[in-house]
Amino acid sequence: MNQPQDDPTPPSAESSAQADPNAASDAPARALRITVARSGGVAGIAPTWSITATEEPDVDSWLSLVESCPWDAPEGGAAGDPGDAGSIAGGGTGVADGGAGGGGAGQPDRFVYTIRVVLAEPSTPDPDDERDARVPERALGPWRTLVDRVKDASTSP
Amino acid sequence: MRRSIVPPYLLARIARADAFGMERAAAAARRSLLADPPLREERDERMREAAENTGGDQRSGARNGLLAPRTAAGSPAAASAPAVQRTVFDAAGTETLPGRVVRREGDPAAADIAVNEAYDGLGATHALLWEAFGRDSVDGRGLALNATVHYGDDYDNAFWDGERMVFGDGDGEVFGRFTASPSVIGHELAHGVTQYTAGLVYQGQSGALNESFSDVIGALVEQHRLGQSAEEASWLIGEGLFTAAVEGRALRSMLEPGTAYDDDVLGKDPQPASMDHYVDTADDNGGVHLNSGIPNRAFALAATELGGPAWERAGRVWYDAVAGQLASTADFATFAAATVTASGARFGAESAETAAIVRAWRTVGVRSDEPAPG
Repeated sequence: MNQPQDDPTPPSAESSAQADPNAASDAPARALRITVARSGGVAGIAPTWSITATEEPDVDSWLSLVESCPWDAPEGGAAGDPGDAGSIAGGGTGVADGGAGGGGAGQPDRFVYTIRVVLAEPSTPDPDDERDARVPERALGPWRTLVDRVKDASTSP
Repeated sequence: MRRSIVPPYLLARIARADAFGMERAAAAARRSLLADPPLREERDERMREAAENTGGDQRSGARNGLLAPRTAAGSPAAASAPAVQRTVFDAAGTETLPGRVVRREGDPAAADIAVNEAYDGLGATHALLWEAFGRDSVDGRGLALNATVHYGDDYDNAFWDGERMVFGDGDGEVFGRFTASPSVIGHELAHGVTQYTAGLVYQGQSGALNESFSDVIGALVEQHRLGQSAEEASWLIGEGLFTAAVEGRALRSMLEPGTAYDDDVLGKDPQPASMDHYVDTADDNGGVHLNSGIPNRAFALAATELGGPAWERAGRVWYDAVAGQLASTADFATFAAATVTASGARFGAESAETAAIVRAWRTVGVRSDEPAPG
């Protein structure tokens, strides 16, 4: 896999525009969609940013970013199946409660981020591998690169 | 280029609107500087009359063991007003708190408008809490008020972190700097008041009440500093925060929840105005910034029905309820009952105040009983 964390240029969000016909003919197409939704804040306005990657190099780049996040950490992580933690194929859904309850009570009007990753493989009947995490603003640290890159690459609100 | 939730056509409009936005901000600053001294004198006169009429305040700050500052003799509140102790810090675009001290209490105005707006907003909130409710600062014990401005990069928010207020500068596309709205400054400091009193849990209905009480205080800070009656007030929260590119008046409308903005990009103000449209969601700590529209409207309806300075009647009752024996997990119905009880204690069970408050809670669908005759 590529290591986009070390590359200042974010992976392309519009890979279909750069499709290489030779590469596209082989590998089974995978589509990765990452959505970042922000709620809270004094304004109470909830924007959403998302990217979709379909070319293998881009999917791999984004996946390595996804897998660098602490999905299984107590704060800011998803509570999926422990055996599959760390792999997008494992799926899982969790709420990072470090800020939603105790932390949120201490700091009203802070943001809460909901991060959702869906990897679809159209060739399988039940294609969706997915995971979600709810991350309070104060725990954003290890998620920040992913969140910022999705925001920067997002083409729609 | 940093992309955001604003499409290119809006960016172009923002670019054209920049000069206008600066003019508005400058005008607002001038207005507050000009308006303050005479209005304060007028307010103090009203306070003296009010104290003579009602026999003063025996309940404020009771939870913190404070004595009421005003007595039945009607001594002017201003004469014994506690000193406000403000310090403004500058995070210089970082997320490191508190930042560098840029203005202390009594310092002359700084060159930075955000610093001065924060300083003035802290002062206006301190003045409301003392002059209207006899509360000495956020904790009732003269807590020093600290604020940090220029927090983060394009940061679209302001918050109370348990000890201080923190203001972002906004992204410049949707939001300008968050110090520009006194109601937002009052809103954030009121989170501190709630923290030191009812401690309303920031989740679900108690969280929406926490939000709503902050909006109530935020609105009252603006009205008090402008000397506005309930009828004259805009009942808007966060007026002037949006850039000119946004189709909207403010973040929220207390009197007409759901009507503050309707914008191509931001969508329509999603606040419900009654229990019929209560929003069930896991986001935003259970929709605390959405469902706050319901108790917000109850307050604005009661205040406008009663008329006059809203902090003297409806505001007084809401403050009494939050600073009284309210449970931290109170839901809307519990809080509505607490306001009716507080109104009965202060103004009488058969009073116009209590009747207006019961009617308001009924209008928004929180209570189903008839208001007492009166």
